[in-house]
Order: sequence, then structure tokens, then C-alpha cells
Amino acid sequence: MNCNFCEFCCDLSKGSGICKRYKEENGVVVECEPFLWTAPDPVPVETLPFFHAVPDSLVLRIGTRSCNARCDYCINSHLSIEDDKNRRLDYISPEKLVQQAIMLDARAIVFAMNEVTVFLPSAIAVADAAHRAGLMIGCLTNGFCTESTARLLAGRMDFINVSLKSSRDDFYRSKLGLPKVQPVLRSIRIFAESSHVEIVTPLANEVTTEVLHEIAAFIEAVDCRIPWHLMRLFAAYKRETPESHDFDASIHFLGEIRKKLQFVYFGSFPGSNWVDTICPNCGGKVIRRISIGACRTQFASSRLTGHCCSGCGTPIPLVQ
Amino acid sequence: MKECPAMAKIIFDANGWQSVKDFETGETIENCADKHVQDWKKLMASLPYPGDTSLESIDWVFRSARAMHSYYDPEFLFISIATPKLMKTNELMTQADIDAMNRQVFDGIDSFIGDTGYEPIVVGMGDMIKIKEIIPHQGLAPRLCFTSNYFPYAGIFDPTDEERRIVENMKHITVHTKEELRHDFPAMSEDYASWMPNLLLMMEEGYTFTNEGNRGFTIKMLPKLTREFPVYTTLEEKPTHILNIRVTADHALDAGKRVALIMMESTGFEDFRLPYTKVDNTHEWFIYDHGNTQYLAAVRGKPFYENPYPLIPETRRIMHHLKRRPYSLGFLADLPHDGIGCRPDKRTAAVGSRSGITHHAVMPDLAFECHSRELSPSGTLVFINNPK
Repeated sequence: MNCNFCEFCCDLSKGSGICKRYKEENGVVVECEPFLWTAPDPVPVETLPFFHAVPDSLVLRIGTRSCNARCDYCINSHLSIEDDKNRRLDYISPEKLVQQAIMLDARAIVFAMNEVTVFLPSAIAVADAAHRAGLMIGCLTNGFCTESTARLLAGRMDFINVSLKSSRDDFYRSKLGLPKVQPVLRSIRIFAESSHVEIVTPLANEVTTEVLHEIAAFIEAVDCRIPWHLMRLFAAYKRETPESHDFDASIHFLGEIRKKLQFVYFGSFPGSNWVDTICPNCGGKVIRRISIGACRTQFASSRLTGHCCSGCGTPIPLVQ
Repeated sequence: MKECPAMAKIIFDANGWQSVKDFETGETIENCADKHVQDWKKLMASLPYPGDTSLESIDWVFRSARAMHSYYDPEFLFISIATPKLMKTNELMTQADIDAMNRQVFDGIDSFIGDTGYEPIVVGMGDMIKIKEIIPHQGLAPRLCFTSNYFPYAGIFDPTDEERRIVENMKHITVHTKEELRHDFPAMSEDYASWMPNLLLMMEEGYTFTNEGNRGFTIKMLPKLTREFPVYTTLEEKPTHILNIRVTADHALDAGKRVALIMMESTGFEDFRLPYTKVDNTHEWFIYDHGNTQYLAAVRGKPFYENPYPLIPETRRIMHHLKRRPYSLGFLADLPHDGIGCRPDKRTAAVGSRSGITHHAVMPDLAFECHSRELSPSGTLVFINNPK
């Protein structure tokens, strides 16, 4: 029997799949460790990053272990790739998790430590419990999932952040352990039909300006209002030394691309001047943020009337 | 003592890009012509931070201290050395590796003091210990909040009856209610008490609720909640209590001496390579935990419940305190304006590899420190606070 959650579609008669998180039981694909979680932590939503979903809110960040990708710069490789056998995962039922999120004044639960596709049934059960209680649900994903999984996530997640790491198959194959980018692009199109989507692109050295233009063209074709986060890369996992970053080139690219895409951000370093939301019509700052460094960005203030720019009334895509 | 002036500034160097910010608002200051800003932009570009988990960070601290000494010639210099803790906590170091690291730290101190002539006060903030056992949290995560910089204390805010019952039956912890804290520390202000958890949980040595550190790294060792720690100084007056360190430094400065207060994390009696006196690290039953609490106590000379930083930061409340001085993570309404760096009669400075607390606690005229969050080195930070 083949798993149908991610695009690898592993044959489970030969083991627990590339992510080692699933098995066959009575003709059904089941998780090996359902509802076992790691790192539950209340965090500001902007740190994940989501800039257009429940701004200035606390969310309960949570994850499990493993991944279907092997990104050579994974900042969470200790969870997703080289998992420490001494790590203890804790059982928390969906109802208990929701109750705890509410007690913490969290607006949402967000699966943000590792790939959501490797614990999909648990994620969906939590999503259903959260929605019953009036909480929102979000996730981070690499998007390398089957079409049916993409549709399932699109229907259950209120907001999704997809890491689109390149436009090139060779980069996906050689640096991420994923055979091609096409399923990721397909997932983004599906997510954008019925959920709020933001896209992240880590700026590895191989992600040239040409690649960035290709990604931008794709986003523009789907919806020029999708927020796009360009993130400076940190030394992590196999990339042990920090990569030099050409800030001038990135800043020049931002200037060009903001003429085509309405909400482009550049962060993951302290003091960034490119984390504010700018009204695409009047150019006013509708949401001001502070970039603390690493992935941490925090809300500072807003000039919004409902979902619209207070200055000119232009609607801003926001999940609130 | 001086208040932090409205136009104190921060410079960030993100390894290839620099920006000047207003310390109060976080707003960018364009085209800042301030001489110190221009000078430090050049200096920071020449001193890129090697990273929290790199041994090179130890040498970086001393190179930075020399740069500060050459530039400003401060009469009081604070130096924080966080690398040993960050390394020992997250890496399984051999004893040979630990010995080599300690040699590097103490050789660096010896050489720096020898070349600059400061009267040193060298503080070993305490040993590390192996984790004996992880206490099952019985469903309390994520309701448990922890002290910054690892977990000797935990807290639960507004606990339910079920949570109280779970805590009452837990092993390897001592529970103090907020009412007990108010009783035991009657000088604690209403405001500080309002930031304390309803249940404060103090771990027995070697026990912890979690071995997940920043970003989920598996923690290998914990800082010990230590009742005493070692201090070396060439000054005649020797501190006997953590709150006397400030007094000792003040007296030396009053006498016209130049003082370097050096605080080394994760270094206790086992690793201390200088002749030392034992310094009391307690306040009644309370033990100053390794990190912000110790830093603030040493440089302010005031007990923990007078700190401008909550013992157990509660994320949902802290979040709404970040609008002012947005780069001062987790500090309450007022930053310390009684830090030793605030002395109006002395030139004061701070450098170090403990991000944030180095300038927040001391509030010197000038500070240069690494800027790291969750072990991700983002670059360096300079704090410019009306140098004399």
C-alpha cells in the first residue's frame, strides 16, 4: 500500500516511508506516533512568519519530528532530519491542546516546527477541534504534497506559509532532497484558491536574482497580492559557516519587484527596513513592524480601518 | 544617576548591512552624522561575530574589549562571556574540550588585564551539571513558563484547580505560591508581584521539565542553581554576597581606580583558574539563577524583586510591553537607570557575548555586543548613550 500524503507516495509495505512517520494498519495509512508533540510554545505570529494573518497576536506554535525533505540549510534539522533519540515527545489530545491555546490567549494554533504532511491526520484532528472552539489554524509547509493533501490542507487551514525555495528542479534535487519543484507550485495554486497563503524564500547563495525573478513571475501569475518573505539565510545543518549576503543586490531587487508584487518583505536580520506593510495604492505604512533579528519580527502599530488602509481605503489582504 | 536620554541610539551590523535606530522607538535614523556612530560603524565592520556556538567567540570578546578600551578608555568596563554556557549547554563536550575552552577564557582575561591595567573583578557565575531526569510535565506544557536562559525556575500563571493538583503531587520540585513570596519578601512591590506566577516551581538540582532549548535543540547540561560562586579580584575589598559586587566596584571607582567587571557564564568552582573568594548567591531561600537575574543583581546591587525584568517572563504579557524600546526584549516599563554604567562621574562601557543584557543591565555610555536570537547570530549591536 502506498501512502498518499506527500508526493513521494512511499510503499508502506517496505517500511514507514521516507519520513518514517506512517504505517499501514488494516488497509489504512496511520501515523506511527499520533498526537505526540514537541516544542509547544506561545509566540507572536509575526515570528513564523505570518504578516497578514492575525497580526499582533499570540499563537501556539507546535510540531512533531521528521520531514520528507532534507534541506541542507534546515534551521530545525535537529528535529526534522537528525532527530535525537533522547527527545521526548508528549501526548496532548486535540481538545487539550485547544484548551491550552485558549488559556494562553492564543488566536490560533500553528504547525510550525516541521513539515505538516508528516503528521497530517493529527494536524487535521487538531484543526477540527480548534475550529469547533472558534480558534484559527495555520501551518508551515514545503508544499511537496499530493494534490489531495493540498486540497485537504486548503480546506482546513486558515492560513498557510509555503516555503518556495527555488524555481529550479536541480536545486530541489541537490540541496533539498526533493525531486522537483512542480508539486510545490501546484500546491500553492490550490492553497491560494481557498486559504490565505504567504510564501517564504530563504536566500541561499544559489538563489540568484534570475531565480528570484522566476519565482516572482510565478507568484504574480497566481495572485500579486500574496505576501512574499525573502529571508536571509543562517548557517545551519550542512552549511556550517555563514554565507555572505549581497544586501545591495537584494535591496535593488526589492525595489524592482515591489512594482509587480504588492507585499514583498525582506527580513531575518536585525533592524530591517523592509518588514512594514505598505499600502499598494497610496504608499502609506499600514502596518509597522520591528525586525529583532533571526526570524523574530514584532508588530509595532497599524493604520487600518477594518481590513483597509486608513489613508485611502484600499483593501489589504488580512486574516483577522 | 542619569536617565536614558531620548536620543540614545543603536547601530546594527548584520554582516554586510548597517542601520542606525532610535533606542526608544526603534525608528530608523537616516544619515546620522554623530561621530560615535560613524566611528563605530567602521569598528563593528571589522569585528564580525563568529557565532554563539563557536569557540572563536571567546577571542572575539577580548578583541572587542580591546577595541572599546582603545576607542573610549572607559574607567568602568563590563565584560560578559556567554560562550562557555552556550557551548556546554548544547554540545556534548569532552573534559579535554572544556579544559581547552577554560584555558582560552582565562588566558584571555590574563592578557587583557595585563595589557590594560584594569582592576579586575572576575565572577564565575556557576557550574554546569548533567541532567539527572526530565520531570514529566503531565500535560502542563505549554502552560509552563520558564526563567530566561534555561530552566531552574518554572511558573504557572492563573492555574486551574487541575493544574494545582498536578503540581502538588510532582516530585523533584519545591512550590512557592505568590502569597508565600509576598510573605517571605515583604519589600516586593505590587508591580513586581503582579509579574510573578501564581505558582513558582523551583527544581531540585539536575532536574528539569524539558531538555528542549532554543529552537528545540536538545540540552545536554544545565546551569546549576548554585548557593555560592567564585570571585577573583585584585581589589583589597572582596565581595561576600552577589549584591556586594556593585558596592565593591563603586568603592574602587570612588577611589579613582579603573575597574573591569568580568562575568563568565557556566564557570564555577570546578573551572575557575584564579584564586577566589566564595560569594553568597542567595536571598533567603531564593537562589539567583544563572543569567539575567545574576547579571542584574551584580551590576545593580539590588535584590531580584527590584529587578526591571520579570523572573518568569509570561509571553502574552511581555508581548504588549515591546512597543516601547522594541529592542529591549522583555524589560518592563523602565530600564535600569541605576546600573553601574549610569554613573555620571565616570566613563563607562560594556562589551560581551551575552546579547541584550550586556547593555540593558549596565546602561553604560557605550556598549558593543553580539546580536543573537535563539542561537542564530544576526550580527552585532552598538549602544550609544551620550558618551562623555
